[in-house]
Amino acid sequence: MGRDKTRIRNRIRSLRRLADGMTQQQLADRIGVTRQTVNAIEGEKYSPSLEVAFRIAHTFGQPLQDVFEYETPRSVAETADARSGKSDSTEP
Amino acid sequence: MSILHHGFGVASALASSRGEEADGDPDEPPHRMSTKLDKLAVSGMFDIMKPDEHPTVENSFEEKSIWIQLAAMLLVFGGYLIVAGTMLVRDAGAIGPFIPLLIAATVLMIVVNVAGHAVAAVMTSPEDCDERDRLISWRSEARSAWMLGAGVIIAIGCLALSMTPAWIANILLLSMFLSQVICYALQLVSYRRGF
Repeated sequence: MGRDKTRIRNRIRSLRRLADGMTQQQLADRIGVTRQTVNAIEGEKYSPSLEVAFRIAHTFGQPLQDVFEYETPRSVAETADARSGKSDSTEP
Repeated sequence: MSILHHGFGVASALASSRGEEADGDPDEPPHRMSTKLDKLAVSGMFDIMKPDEHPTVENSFEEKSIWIQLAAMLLVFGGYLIVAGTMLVRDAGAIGPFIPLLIAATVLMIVVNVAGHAVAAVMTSPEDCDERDRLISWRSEARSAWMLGAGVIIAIGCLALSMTPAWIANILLLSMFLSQVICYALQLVSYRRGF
């Protein structure tokens, strides 16, 4: 009955490193939020609005789905199954 | 300067010992490759030392502002409510004697807030609120509004019991005070723990 907990994962930290070691402050200035908000997004403590998410993706020149990933417990379980090979065994 | 040079040298030596090579043309002059290698290694070193990689981040101006408002509220209006409570217990009469006290508390509250924000602005450059700040504020206000509602209901009850205007006014002020304190506390919890 309980509502599934959802989580938006992201790879902003690795993208910042790839972008010549862009700092959180530099990214924050570009997307128009505070550094603390960038830190909260990176730490997956805060899910940004769609507009900020698009701005982040645009800053790194990546499609949105390459920066953010919507993850539910079901998708986590499926990923874990796929990794352990269970999904192959259940397939006809 | 010597520390910097030492850092570059160590980084370069570490990179060389790992057998790392700079990307680019292998026919490049050795001194240019060494410079690139230094840059790569040093950038790696700075990645480790970058302050924003630390899990704790310095409080934003907005968060400091909330701390200041909470402290001012607790000190000034907390003090007012203690004095007003004492006065009510002694003589729960007219509302007149409470007016100068309330004006003094309001002026003091403004002074403490201005002084606190001036100090905070010197320590941290003020920034505009962003969407997270606004969301935290809205959520906290929504979650603390029940206290003000409860105060209004209690005040109506007091009115039905024919209590003095001084009691009713101060019950309303108390509920406003508690509601605001809860709001600030929830905001600070949201900033610290996220949501």
